[in-house]
Amino acid sequence: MKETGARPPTIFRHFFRWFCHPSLVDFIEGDLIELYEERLTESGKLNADVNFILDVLLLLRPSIMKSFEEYGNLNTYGMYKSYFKTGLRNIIKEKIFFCINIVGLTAGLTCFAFIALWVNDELSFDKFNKNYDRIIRVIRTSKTESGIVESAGTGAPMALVINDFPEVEHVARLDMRGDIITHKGQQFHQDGILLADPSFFDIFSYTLSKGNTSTALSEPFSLVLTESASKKYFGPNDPIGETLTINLHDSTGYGALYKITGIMPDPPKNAHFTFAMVASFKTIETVNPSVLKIAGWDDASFYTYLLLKEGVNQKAFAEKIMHLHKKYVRPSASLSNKTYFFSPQPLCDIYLRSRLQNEIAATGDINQVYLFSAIGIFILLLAGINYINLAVAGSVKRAKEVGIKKVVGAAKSQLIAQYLCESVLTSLIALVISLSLCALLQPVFFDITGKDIFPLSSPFLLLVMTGVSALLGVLAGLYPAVVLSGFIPVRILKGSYQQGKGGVFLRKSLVVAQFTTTIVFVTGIIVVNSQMSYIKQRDLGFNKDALIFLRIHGNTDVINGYNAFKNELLQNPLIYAIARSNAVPIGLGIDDSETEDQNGKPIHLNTATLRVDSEYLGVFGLKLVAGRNFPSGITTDTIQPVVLNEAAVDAVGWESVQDAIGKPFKINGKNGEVIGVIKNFHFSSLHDRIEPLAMHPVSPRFSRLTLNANVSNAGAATASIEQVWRKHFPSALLDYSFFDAQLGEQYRAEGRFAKIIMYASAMSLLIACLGLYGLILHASSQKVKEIGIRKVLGASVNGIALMLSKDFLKLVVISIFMAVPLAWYIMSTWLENFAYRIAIAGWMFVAAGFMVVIIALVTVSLEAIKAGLTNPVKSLRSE
Amino acid sequence: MKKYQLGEFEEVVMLTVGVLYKQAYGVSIKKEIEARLSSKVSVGALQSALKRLEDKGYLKSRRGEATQERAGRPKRYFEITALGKKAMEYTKTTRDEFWRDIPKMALDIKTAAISR
Repeated sequence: MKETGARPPTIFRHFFRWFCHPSLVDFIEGDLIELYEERLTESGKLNADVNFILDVLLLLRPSIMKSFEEYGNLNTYGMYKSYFKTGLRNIIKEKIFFCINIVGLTAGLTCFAFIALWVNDELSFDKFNKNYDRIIRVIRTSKTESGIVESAGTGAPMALVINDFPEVEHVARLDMRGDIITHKGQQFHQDGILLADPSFFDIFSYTLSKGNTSTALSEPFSLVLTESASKKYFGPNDPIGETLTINLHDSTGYGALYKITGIMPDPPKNAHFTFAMVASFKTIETVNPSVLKIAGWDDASFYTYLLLKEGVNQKAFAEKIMHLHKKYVRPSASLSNKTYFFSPQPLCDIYLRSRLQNEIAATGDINQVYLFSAIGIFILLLAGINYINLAVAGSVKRAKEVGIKKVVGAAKSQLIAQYLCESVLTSLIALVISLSLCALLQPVFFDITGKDIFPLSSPFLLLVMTGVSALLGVLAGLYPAVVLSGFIPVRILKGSYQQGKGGVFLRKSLVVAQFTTTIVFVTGIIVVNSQMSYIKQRDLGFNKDALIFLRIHGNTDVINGYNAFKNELLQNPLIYAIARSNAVPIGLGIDDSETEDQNGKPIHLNTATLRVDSEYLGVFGLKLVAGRNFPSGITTDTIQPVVLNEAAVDAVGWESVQDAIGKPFKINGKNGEVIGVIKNFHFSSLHDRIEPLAMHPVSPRFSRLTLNANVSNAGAATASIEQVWRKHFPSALLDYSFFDAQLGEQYRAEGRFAKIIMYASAMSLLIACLGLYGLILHASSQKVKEIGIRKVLGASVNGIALMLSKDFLKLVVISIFMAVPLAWYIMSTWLENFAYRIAIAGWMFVAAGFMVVIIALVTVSLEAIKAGLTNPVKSLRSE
Repeated sequence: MKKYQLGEFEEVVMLTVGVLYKQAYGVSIKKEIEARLSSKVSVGALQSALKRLEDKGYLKSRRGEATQERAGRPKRYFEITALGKKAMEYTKTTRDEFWRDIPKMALDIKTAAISR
């Protein structure tokens, strides 16, 4: 080339080559370069450059520019048909690669479809209500010396006051209960019994298929059944006017009669609460009129929902209701140190974002929605990356095709269109397969999420999936298409075309990205499973394995006949002890307690409370560290004995557990005295720190029995319990469970999380290995001759295999280094959900990395060894 | 007049092509015009004119050799066609007729000033 080596400004040169008419471009460019060289020697580079640029710009004339119309729509219907045919032929020719791509894309799309289905459902909660943006719930914040508690529950009198506000169109109070229904001589435990004001139908979009919405719930002890409940109890008959006996708000002990005043269609499942029947809220007011008194303001058992008028400013309204408590409740001695504030909570924030105490039903978590969306997108990305890698690596094989096409006159845009067609075609085939997979795998989805929805039933979702897969096809196919269409025909047709150096770095980094994601997922599984087994094994401070829980649903017979039942039961050698309580030690409510601190000053405390009898400590195996147990028998002293846990002692600030003994302790306004302190035990899930707990005597109407039994022979134990029960209480429902069931409930979210992570990592490992396998296949087919020569010269099978796999395995090792800090960060954040957790140990990363490396090795060696075993004669022979 | 449309710049280009006989290509034409007319000619204007003349049929081009100075790009040599020659002659003839019909006095500025 030139001695000076100076070049005209390349950008403008390329620009000129772009806009100039092809028949003129070379000649005019030559002129420009000749002039450039002259000016260079005469006036220097700057002058030459400037003039060059000027010349190029002044060459922008219609007579010189190429005609853009000519290159417009070269692709007719016939062309697309030919793309389709070539695409199909290419697929048939390279069956293995096509399969790899399809499997990867299908896996990605199926995962994405399920996750999209789940996310869509979660986000749609409560939106079936016509006025959902105007519906709010009033929640209560209480401040005491021991902290702030936010509760979803409010008291009954507040609704009557709020109804007078001009901004409020309707108010309804709700209560969610479960109780025993006695029907045709049989007892059922029915969950989902909602109690509501008649305005319930005005606020939410529930309708009645039989009955009148304005009158159905106006009388006490009226009941509206959902259609499933109606079928369950009354079959095909019309239940209107009939009665159901429910133990709810029953003063007789044998159940109260509720008159059925209406039937409604089953409520949609995507609401933050569901129910099987609705009773009138008036029932509560009639049976328990004190809920409407001043003291009722402190209650947190009910839920108050409002429908605001249109155009109401929610912020201004929030200001108005905040101090309602102070305004309407005259300060009295026992309430003076408590401050309650009310605030509005929009309906649609409840399911995903509510973190309150006393929630009406279990909520979802917006973080889970984000997490699973991210996982879905990631897996799709992995599949797309695979396609890109394999297509680019395989582009060498198609080089001849590209060369000839270009020589015959194909425009670059046509070639790009062709390869995009192929990738979109592959993607759409994957879509069809994945949709059928979705239909097949729906039971698995239901098993994990509990959602009874079908991927194919929503046309919106189908549209989204088609769009996503087309988009995936385009995006994944774009890079290979550009690479392929950029080949220079001369170089290809002259001889064997070697792989350009350009795309190698990109391909390597894509492989690293895939394996890093996989290792993070696998580490995630290991950590989650370790935490779950830690939870199962951790000593909770009581003998959980030897306990059987019995639930008494307010059955008066059982309560009256308890002593006789107990005596006979204890004669059985399998049953060691039995205790009464008013709750199970899981999900206890928080109550307000008042006591004296170290210096004698009164102090308020938020404590969990549990009402127990004297056997309780023994049954549960709880240890006293100071003081004594409850006296046996049911006490009705005005000053009740109270047993605290160590956490309560610490919260108050007494210097030692001994100091607690004898201190006054008021629970919910009832006077008491501390008689003992027990060692801390986990009465709620390991998510939370052990909170202060105050135990006081069981009420005469206890609701739970806990048995300490020989559980190694569980069948025999339960059989004997059932036998004695039937003898004493022939018509009562026997509702027993073991501790495992409770455990399962508490950690259901984690169980689901673990399952999903497991599937996700299996998917991503599959996709990553598929990609690796494909790349090795390409490498070995390209190096066929090289391998043949090496073998002839004496290389061993291992040597060849090593040569092929070395590069790729290096990448996997790099991925490990990148994945470790990322996985550590993510899993630490997840573990922060638990107050009691394992520490992330090094062995987890090692195990994850090791596993992934082994699997990658196996994948790689499958092909590498096969390549090493090929007969060199075959590869070196030229026909 | 309508038969042979030849603009002023186009005429200059054609004359230059004639002068350069068998050596007329982009750069040489540009340099010749700039030397004779003492004014800059842009590559764009020149190429545009050459293309127009070729489309009208007054010039024909042939492919030349490639050189190092041109980074391997070939040159494009122009020649006057028979039609082009006719166009030039026509232009020249009509110009000459104009000149012939101008009275001496119109071009003799000193005399014209006194005769007023």
